[in-house]
Amino acid sequence: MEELIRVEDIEKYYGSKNNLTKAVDRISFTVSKGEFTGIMGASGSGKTTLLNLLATVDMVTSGHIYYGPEDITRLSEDKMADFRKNNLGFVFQDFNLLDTLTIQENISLAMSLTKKSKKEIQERTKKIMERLDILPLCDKFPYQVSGGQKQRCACARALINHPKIVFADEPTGALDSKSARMLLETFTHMNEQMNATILMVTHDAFSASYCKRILFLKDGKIFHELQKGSRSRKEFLDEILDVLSLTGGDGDAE
Amino acid sequence: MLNKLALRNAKRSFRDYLIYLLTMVFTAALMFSFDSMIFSEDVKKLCAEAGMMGAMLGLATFFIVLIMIWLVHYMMKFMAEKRSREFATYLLLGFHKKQIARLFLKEMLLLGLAAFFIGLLPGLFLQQVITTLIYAIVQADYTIHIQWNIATFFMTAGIFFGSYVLAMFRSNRRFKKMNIREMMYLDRQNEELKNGNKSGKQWMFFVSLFTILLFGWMLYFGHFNQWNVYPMIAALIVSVYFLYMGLSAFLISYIRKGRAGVYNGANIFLLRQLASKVKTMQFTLGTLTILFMVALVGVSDALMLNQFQNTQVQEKYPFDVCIYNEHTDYDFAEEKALTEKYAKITDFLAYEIYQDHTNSCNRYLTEALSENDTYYYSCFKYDTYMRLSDYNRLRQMLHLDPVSLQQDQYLIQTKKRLKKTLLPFSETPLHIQGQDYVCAGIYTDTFEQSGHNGADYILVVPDETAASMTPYYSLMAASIKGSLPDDFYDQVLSMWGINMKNDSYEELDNYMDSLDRGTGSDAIYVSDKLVFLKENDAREMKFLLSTLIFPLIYVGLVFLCVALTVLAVQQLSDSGKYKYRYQLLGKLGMRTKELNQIIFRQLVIYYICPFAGAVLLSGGIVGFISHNFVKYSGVQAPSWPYFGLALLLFGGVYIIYFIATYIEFKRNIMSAQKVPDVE
Repeated sequence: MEELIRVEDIEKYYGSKNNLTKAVDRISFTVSKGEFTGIMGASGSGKTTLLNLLATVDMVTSGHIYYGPEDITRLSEDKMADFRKNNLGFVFQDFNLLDTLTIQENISLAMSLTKKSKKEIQERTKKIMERLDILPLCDKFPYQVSGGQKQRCACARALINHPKIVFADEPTGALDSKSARMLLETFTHMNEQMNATILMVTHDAFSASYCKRILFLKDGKIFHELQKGSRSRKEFLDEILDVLSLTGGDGDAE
Repeated sequence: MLNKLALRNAKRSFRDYLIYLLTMVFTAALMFSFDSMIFSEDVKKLCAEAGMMGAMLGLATFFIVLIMIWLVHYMMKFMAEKRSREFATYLLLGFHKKQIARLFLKEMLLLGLAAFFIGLLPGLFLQQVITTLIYAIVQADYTIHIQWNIATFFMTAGIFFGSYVLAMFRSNRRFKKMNIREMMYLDRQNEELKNGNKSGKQWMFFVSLFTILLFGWMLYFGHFNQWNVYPMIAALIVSVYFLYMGLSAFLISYIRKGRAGVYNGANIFLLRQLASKVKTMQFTLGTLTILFMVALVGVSDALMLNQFQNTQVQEKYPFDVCIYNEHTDYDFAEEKALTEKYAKITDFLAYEIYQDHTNSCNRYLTEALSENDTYYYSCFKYDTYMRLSDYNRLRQMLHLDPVSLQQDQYLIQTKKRLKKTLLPFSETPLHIQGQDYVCAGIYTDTFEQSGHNGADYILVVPDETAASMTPYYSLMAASIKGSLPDDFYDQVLSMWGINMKNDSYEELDNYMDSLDRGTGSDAIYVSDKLVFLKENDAREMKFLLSTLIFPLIYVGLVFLCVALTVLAVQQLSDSGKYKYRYQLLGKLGMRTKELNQIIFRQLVIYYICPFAGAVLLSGGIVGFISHNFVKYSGVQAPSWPYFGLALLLFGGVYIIYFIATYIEFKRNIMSAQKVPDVE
């Protein structure tokens, strides 16, 4: 498979000289196109920091992150903004929808920044809302819809610009189990039918079992990796739980 | 799309920050109405000194601009902080920082525009109210008619949006420094309590308390001079800020000691909340206190001057017409004829003031006045005397009973406030041409004693005694029916050969300098005019005092509203954060009624904090000012009514803001308790 991201020996330190926290400690790995990768780990293991670094939200202390030939750790601020606009999609635990815009407007805002024609924006917005089953909600405001619906709206927004990769940070964290399951199925759908590459951070083993590959983080380092291969989701979940019980991690399945 | 977003966001801010916007509307209205006074034709034709109003309002505008910049800047910073996550989302979507800054500024400008144009309407109404008031003060008739002046519009718009631009200029820098990661997690942070339990800064509380007391002591016992007054004012301001820094430490130490009061009901909750609030807001609280203080002092002084202007007309101008002439034995025939050209003279007296080449009374007063204060006493070269018969004729003109003197008696006619000062002088006999005269009494009826019937005093002696004295100068007093024109003084002067060429006062100034004349020791509203016309001069005096009163009230009101807005907005936006804390109290078993009580107590404490300090400080300052005012002006009124009235006025505005905040705050918190998440 074609390589999409290559992470080379990145480090991220926080704090001052006397009180230094190594959030990410010399991590290297690659993400291929079309992968649905999960990053697991206990609280404080550095998983969100890693995601933030890959997503240009945060800056590495040292090391390189390549998207194809481009090293994003060397980009200027404005270039970084353009890079995010054209290549990345985001789904967060608490949705991050704009409460003054309707669901449809929230989705099309990301695309209208790319200076596409109105017709094109409207068509694509409609199409993606249909595929994620939220078209009936198009004129509602975020406060008028449920958490699961909000999260699907966030997914639609993440996908509208056909990004190279979608980052999801604990996307099921604020959802009840039914909505969480629906969302994860949406993710699978996005990955399998729409060929979206997804990188998801979660501490929840059940959510992780939807991924194709899982990186386990501990104290800022990758200490284990699992591939789903041809196993069923149930089998994969058991294996994840095994790894977590070995490390005394706080992963929990419902 | 971006414009739509800006518009929607502005609409939301309009709801969320209604109090702020109402204040901006009110400020715009005040600004427009006061600015229109600068350009108003109605005011210009009212008084020759109309330019003075413009100058004073211009000065006031300077302070208004400063406070506007602060408010707008504060609100922008505040809103930007509240919306940090939203901005982070924009950044994630690929917005450039410049785009976000522009979006935010667009929203702010939309809000400003809305406030400005809404404010114009009440502004026009206020303009009529103020014009009517000014006309009423100078007792002229005014028929209400809207004055729409394009210059006013542009000036107000210029000042209003100028302040906006300056405030924006500063907040633009904020956007440049934005960091997505920090912004995303900013609203998860609680009020920072770096030294949550340290009470080390308590000394600040005591130091500032000491400074404030020292200031009060120096004020009352007159220890201020030109060298220490400014450092002390600076120290006072700094100590206000220190007070809040210390207060937080003080509260924390109180909590840590764990007295019984701490564990009474929800006190611990309130105290901790207050301690952390005071800590994070110490600078804002200090600024609010100072704003309240300035506003209170300003409005109190305005009310004091208003009282002065209401009572001083009779005090200053008892005679309809009173003219001074340096020559002796002057018959005032031409002046009389000139008066008769415009009005009917019902009573007339031309008379002389005498001198005896002595100045014992002048010397006594100079000494007595300089002893107890910094009075500047401007007197004639010699003591001034008047014949008893002239004195009684003048008393008759003023509808006062005549007085009589025996051969060896004299009386002192002086200003009310100087009676006490002159008492010791009256107790020793007065030597006139080798003979002792006993004082028959001190009369304090108002008598035009600022350069006409003497400077501060006149010694009245029997006619025979005066006959042996040297005539000093001549005076004319008249009662009239009708009005004299405003240029009457100029006409009299040109009759004497003194002309105003191209509005130049040089010739007049030279002439005045050549005169042996004093105007007494008045310190408030002193005029050295040679001609006093009751109606015209009263009007001018009232108008000139209005040029102080109106700007003071203007600045006071705006400062008050700005300070209250900051308080209200702070509390309301925190209610979002408090929602969870109060929810928790509810879960711990607190009833709605009890919760309401805590909310009420929290708001009361929070509202009282900066205000109480300001009341104490400004109370002291107003007390001092009015004490001196009484001394200098002779107004016989205690100081508390001005301050009380200002407090009442402020209390009213305060309560309006408080109620609005309380209702909104309660609604915010209760909404969290009732509405379950949509699912």
